[in-house]
Amino acid sequence: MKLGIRVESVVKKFGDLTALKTVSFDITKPGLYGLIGPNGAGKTTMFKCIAGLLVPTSGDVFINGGKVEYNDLSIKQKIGFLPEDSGLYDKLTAKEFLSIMAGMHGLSKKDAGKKVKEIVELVGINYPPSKIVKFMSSGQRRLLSIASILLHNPNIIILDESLSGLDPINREHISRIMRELSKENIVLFSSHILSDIWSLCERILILKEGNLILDDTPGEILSRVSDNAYFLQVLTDIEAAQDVLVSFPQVKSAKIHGDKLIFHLSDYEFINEIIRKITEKVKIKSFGPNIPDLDQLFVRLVNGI
Amino acid sequence: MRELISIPTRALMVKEWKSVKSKIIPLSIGLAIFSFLTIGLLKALPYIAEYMEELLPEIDEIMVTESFFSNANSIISIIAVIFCADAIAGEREKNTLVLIQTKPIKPSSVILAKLLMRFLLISIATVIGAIVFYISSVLLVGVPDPWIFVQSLLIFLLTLFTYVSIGVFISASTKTQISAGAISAGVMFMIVIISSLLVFEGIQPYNVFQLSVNLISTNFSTLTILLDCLILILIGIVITICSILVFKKEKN
Repeated sequence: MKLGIRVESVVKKFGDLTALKTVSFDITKPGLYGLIGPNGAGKTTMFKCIAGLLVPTSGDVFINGGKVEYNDLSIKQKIGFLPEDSGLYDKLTAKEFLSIMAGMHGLSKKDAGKKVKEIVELVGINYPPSKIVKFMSSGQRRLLSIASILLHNPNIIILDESLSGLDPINREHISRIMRELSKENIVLFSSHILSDIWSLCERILILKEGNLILDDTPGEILSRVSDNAYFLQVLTDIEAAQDVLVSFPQVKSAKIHGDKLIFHLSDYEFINEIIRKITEKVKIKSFGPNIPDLDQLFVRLVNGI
Repeated sequence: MRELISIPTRALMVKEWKSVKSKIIPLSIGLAIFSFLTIGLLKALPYIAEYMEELLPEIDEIMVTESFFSNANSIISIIAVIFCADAIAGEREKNTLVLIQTKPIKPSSVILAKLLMRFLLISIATVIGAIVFYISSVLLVGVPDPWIFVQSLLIFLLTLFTYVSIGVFISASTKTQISAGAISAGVMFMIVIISSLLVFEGIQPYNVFQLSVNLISTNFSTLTILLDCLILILIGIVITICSILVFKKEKN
């Protein structure tokens, strides 16, 4: 079976509003893929079109090589989709909820029992199975929701804002599950918090006002926005380091900001030579590309690079 | 039967039953009290106001049975329809509808599972209420004709099926449970009022929503009864198909 998601020129209109404007992308191998964009960018609409919950106005979606036909229920067996703010059946216990969800995916009672145990272990649900959903914390509810979309062994997992509103411990826990799942499956997830996606994804797609404005690796995106700017921190004389830097014609500027020396290079190939010269005069504490903080980066990305 | 219904649909039906079953006891108790009061009030009227003794005809089993079905037709039907308000609109409001939409279940199965489980619950409560009424009548007034009583009850259940289908349709067409409940109450109020006002003899055989009541004191031919039942079923089926179409349309 050919694993993959292919979105071809998808347009989705709601009356006069065009939520997606000819979006195309292709994902062909297992891994973690992030979709970011400000609120209202069309992330949820995109996911719903992929998961077969919305019919695109035009364009096609292909899942594992097959075109998504919107009356074909088999698509739902290939995808595990967790929508943003998805509710749960509050009156049920965790075990009842998962058993019913497994049943709704066509698992017999016997198979459902086994699968529920397996998934509870994988996801790391550590509260009693008899706990009623209504009395669960938001972290526990999120784990239960994630468990419920994995019961039918989907190879495409779509998580819409699954990390938002959680404390750092739960975020880390769910990130770990996502990394584990991405070893064999395509995990596509959205967030409007760049740090969530930055640390996890091998590829980032950015949606703005229904347009896919960027589709690249975090490294490539960084190199576009860092403007060949680097920072340097030294243990001794920062001004001496500045003097060394400005002596190179490839260094366009070198300014001291607090305990950092920020400089721009016109040619990256000279970086080793520059660093060698500096280490002859001063001791380097740290050095790297000067990245704006992730919030600034997000604003720069969505406002045009 | 198990093979006829797919595993996902069965799981949905289990979920539906679990979500409505908590209402079965209060609803049954309520309908049992209502049934007892139907007879109790009629028996008590002459004692409450002595002058009414002359105005009221003699209370017999036919009168109380007619009164029971007439009241049931107005009250239980409104309860049934309002009770369906949560079917789709409630799930939409709580963001749980998407849990069903992401599963391999046909829209028709979703609507039918919701409709059938609610109809089953209302039917159980109605039958309990009818049994309480029958026993009360035997003890306090007289023995109602069991054949006519069962016939009226079955036709009333059929009427309830139509009402439940109206409730599910309204729920599928609205965004919130409150608006579904309010619209349902309004629609049912109109149906009940209009059908109970159609008292002209010539119209009675065609007044399908009042058939369970009229059957007690009027002799209808078997053909008329069967035809009316068929009309009730057809109305229910057409409304259910409309609900499925409305639910399907959400994807666009």
